[in-house]
Amino acid sequence: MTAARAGAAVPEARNGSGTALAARTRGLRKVYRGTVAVDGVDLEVPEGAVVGMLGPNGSGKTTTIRMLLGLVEPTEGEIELLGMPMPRSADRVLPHVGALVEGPGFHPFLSGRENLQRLAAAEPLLSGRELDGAVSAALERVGLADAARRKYRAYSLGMKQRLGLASALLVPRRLVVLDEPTNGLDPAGTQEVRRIIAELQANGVTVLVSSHLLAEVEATCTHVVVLNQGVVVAQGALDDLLESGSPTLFVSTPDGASAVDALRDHRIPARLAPDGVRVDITTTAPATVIETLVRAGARVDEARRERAGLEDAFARLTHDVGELVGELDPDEPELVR
Amino acid sequence: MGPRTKALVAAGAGITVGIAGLALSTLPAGADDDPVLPAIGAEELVTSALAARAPAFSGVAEMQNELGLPAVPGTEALDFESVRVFHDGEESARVQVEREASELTFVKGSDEAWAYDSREHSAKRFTWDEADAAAARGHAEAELADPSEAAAEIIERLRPTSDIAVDGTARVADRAAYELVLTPKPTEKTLLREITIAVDEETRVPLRFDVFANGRSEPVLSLGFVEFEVGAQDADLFEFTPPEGAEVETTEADDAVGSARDAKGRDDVGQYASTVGEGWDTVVIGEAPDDLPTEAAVEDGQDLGGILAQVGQPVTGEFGTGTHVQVAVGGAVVTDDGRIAAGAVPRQVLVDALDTDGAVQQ
Amino acid sequence: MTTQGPVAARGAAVQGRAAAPDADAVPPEASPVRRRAPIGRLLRAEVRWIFRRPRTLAVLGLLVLLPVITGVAVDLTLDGATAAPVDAGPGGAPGAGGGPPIFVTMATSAFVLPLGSLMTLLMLLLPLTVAMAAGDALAGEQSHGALRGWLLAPVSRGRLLLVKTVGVLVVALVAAGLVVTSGLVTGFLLAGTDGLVSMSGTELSVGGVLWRLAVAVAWATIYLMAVGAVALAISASTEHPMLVVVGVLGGLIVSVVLMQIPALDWLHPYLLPSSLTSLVDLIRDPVSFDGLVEGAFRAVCYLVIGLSVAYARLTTRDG
Repeated sequence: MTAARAGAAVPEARNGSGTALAARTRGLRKVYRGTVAVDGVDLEVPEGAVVGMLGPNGSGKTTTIRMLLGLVEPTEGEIELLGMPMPRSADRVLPHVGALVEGPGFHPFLSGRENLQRLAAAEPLLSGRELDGAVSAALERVGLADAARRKYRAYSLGMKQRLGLASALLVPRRLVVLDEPTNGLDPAGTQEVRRIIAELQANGVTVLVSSHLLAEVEATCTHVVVLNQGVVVAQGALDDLLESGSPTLFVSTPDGASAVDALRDHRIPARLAPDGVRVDITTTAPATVIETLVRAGARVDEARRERAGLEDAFARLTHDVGELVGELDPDEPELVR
Repeated sequence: MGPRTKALVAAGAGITVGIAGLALSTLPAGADDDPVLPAIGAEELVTSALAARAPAFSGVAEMQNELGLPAVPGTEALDFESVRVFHDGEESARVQVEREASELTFVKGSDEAWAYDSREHSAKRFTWDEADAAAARGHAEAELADPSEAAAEIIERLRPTSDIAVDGTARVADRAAYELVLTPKPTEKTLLREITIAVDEETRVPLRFDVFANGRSEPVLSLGFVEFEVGAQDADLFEFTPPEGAEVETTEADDAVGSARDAKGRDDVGQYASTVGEGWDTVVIGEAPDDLPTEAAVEDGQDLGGILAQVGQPVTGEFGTGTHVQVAVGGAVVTDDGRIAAGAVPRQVLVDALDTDGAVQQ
Repeated sequence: MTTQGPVAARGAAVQGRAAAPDADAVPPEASPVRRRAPIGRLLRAEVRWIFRRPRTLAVLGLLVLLPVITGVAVDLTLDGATAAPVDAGPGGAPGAGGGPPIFVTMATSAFVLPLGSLMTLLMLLLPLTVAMAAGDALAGEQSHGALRGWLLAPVSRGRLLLVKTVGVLVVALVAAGLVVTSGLVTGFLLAGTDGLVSMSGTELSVGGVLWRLAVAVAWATIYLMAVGAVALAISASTEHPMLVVVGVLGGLIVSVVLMQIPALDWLHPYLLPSSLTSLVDLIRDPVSFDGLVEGAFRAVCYLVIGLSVAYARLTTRDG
């Protein structure tokens, strides 16, 4: 499908399981003056998915995105976007890719509409007659129609961010890349961005969205890539990633303390929680847990499987590699492993 | 090729082309090899050069001056960048002395001549009646506008006291030319080594004069065309109407010659001069021009005597006392009683000439 | 090293969803032939952007005003003492350091005022105007993050440089044109058709004046483009537009200083400002084009050097 659209000469990109990929990298590496910002990243963005790129600041998210879009030349590695090699095929691929990278870049002395018109003029897929309509539609879509004639300089941070989003949506895209799209947005604005992402997905558009906010990714994404210190520490479908944590059974019981003791006597890991106990069921079947509790005379009101929060998974995964690095710039030498 | 390689190649090629272009524009014109021309005897070349009349042409002449002249006020007309010359092949000529931000324009028609100085916004008109015309023309045609006449005059004067030879060929103003060399005979007491005249092969018009002094390899004075194109000229060029607002002055023919010469920085000795000796060691003796000290005093707050004292050496002889000023090609003695003796000769020859001249006059 | 293995392998789980999207909603086919935004549209957008910038408009306004101010000032001085020479009129010799004015009495004429203003302003203010435009074109856009928008559209870097170069060219042409037009109009208002006289003493027709002024504008544009190309090269290497202006200013000052040193006369033909004096030749009659052609050639050499460095910097630079 991908290859048929983007050019027959290019072999279709699929991962090992045969999924068509909107973006794929192999061994991507970027070194800035001796500092490794991104190292050996093998990224896979399935078509139609909403992929959240998660990682602390300085983990290499933005650098990876900039390399994907051909803004930065990789030191090593290969990139395929919509089935075509980048940056070689940038002029064929990028028209179908909308992007908001590193915050919006607009001119303060132009109005929001004029700024968008300037960008629309460069869109290869828009004919001259379509320009004004496309600009209006994009402004409407991000809720800036009323503020279109105001100077960009007078925009609030949230409005600036929305205008950036509008520039990514000027043309119907096949892939939309959003770098920290909810930065500076109020809760209502955040909600709006989520709605737009959902809308894009419903239209079959692949979305790659980076964030350092876990809740954001958990709420909007189907897939997750976790980056830390320039390395992919995990990637896959959100569901799989959540379940890859230790499965837990929550047992609601008024006799929490005695229940924990009973389970530990049987070498089943458990800990006290409000209104009940949490039981690790990695090695024990849930039925055995219930049976043990009942035998010990604990009253069981309810038992249900619990999903681990992505936050748990994220913290766990990044800890596998090393301490979670906080607010580090990609250029900081501390990032070199 | 990766983008980086491409960028480097682009930058390298662009910079190379650009700098090569700049270097190319600095190369002097006519740096090509000397042209190959049929051999010609010195006599034949001289004869044909003397017989030649300037065709209709336009050209640009430049002067390189290594004379070592002291910066004397009144000679700034020598300080031109280039001179544009137009000649109709008959009697009319136009000479434009281009200075950095102004221009001296001479227009000579068949019966009148104009000199316009844009710095003063003034125009001088020279007329002469039929009777004077022929005589005046003899002087006027010595102007640069007619290089053939100027060359003829030099050759005629120096011929008896010179060895004349043809020394190869040269390319001047992108034209093939013979190099005619005039060397003073050993008996001549001159500071000059030789004068070369590049004579255009096709028209036999002299294209360049080079004056060499003893002990120097480069010419001390080089006056020649850097552009020379033969072809009919627009008749409008040889007519002049003074612009509105210009100060217009009408002068008689005799003055005209003098003024024109003065403006061109020639020695203003005019008709009052007498000469001693002939050929290379000719010494010209005349009265110091009255206007020179005055002008100097006005412009620099300094009289001519003061300037002379700075650049010259005192000299005495039978004629009295004076000041000797030495330059690369010769020298001059200005006597305290207001006479000037000048020539391309050593000091003693000047002193002897003054003595002789004094004896003759008494 | 990572926990990627088992997790990534499950990516197939979403395949069904990924393959399902409504095909009709998918954007127009990506044609295998390359499609690019028409260059004319980019140029229009660029020019509109340039002339919406308040800074550009302010400088252009100043350029319009200066010939008017000098014209009026000289006119008033002349009225006070008609015969008194004006030492420092706009017709003053460029670079002559207090040299004689081209025309003492004609400084306000519709011929000398525009040309004199152009020559004076070409020494500093016009090159700085162009440097400012070039600085905003790449460095300024980059510092706003706005260059990324076009790079992602995508506009190839070669085309980007082309558009930016044309933008600077338009600024150069408009700036030089405004100076001359303003001088011409002021001259006509002050002196009518008086004083349309060449340095060779010939009276010029209005047509003769106009074509000479047109040549002056064209030549000044080429000269300014040489400055602009060098400025673009600096602009492609920095994110600070002011650095571009400062660099150009420094280069001009160094050149002018070098031109004052006779021992370096072999270097002078390589220096851009040595072309400026040839503009005077337009006041001569007939016009001697040698110097102008040489100056234009020198400017083109600078243009080639500047643009190739700018291209190299732009293609290797991170967007």
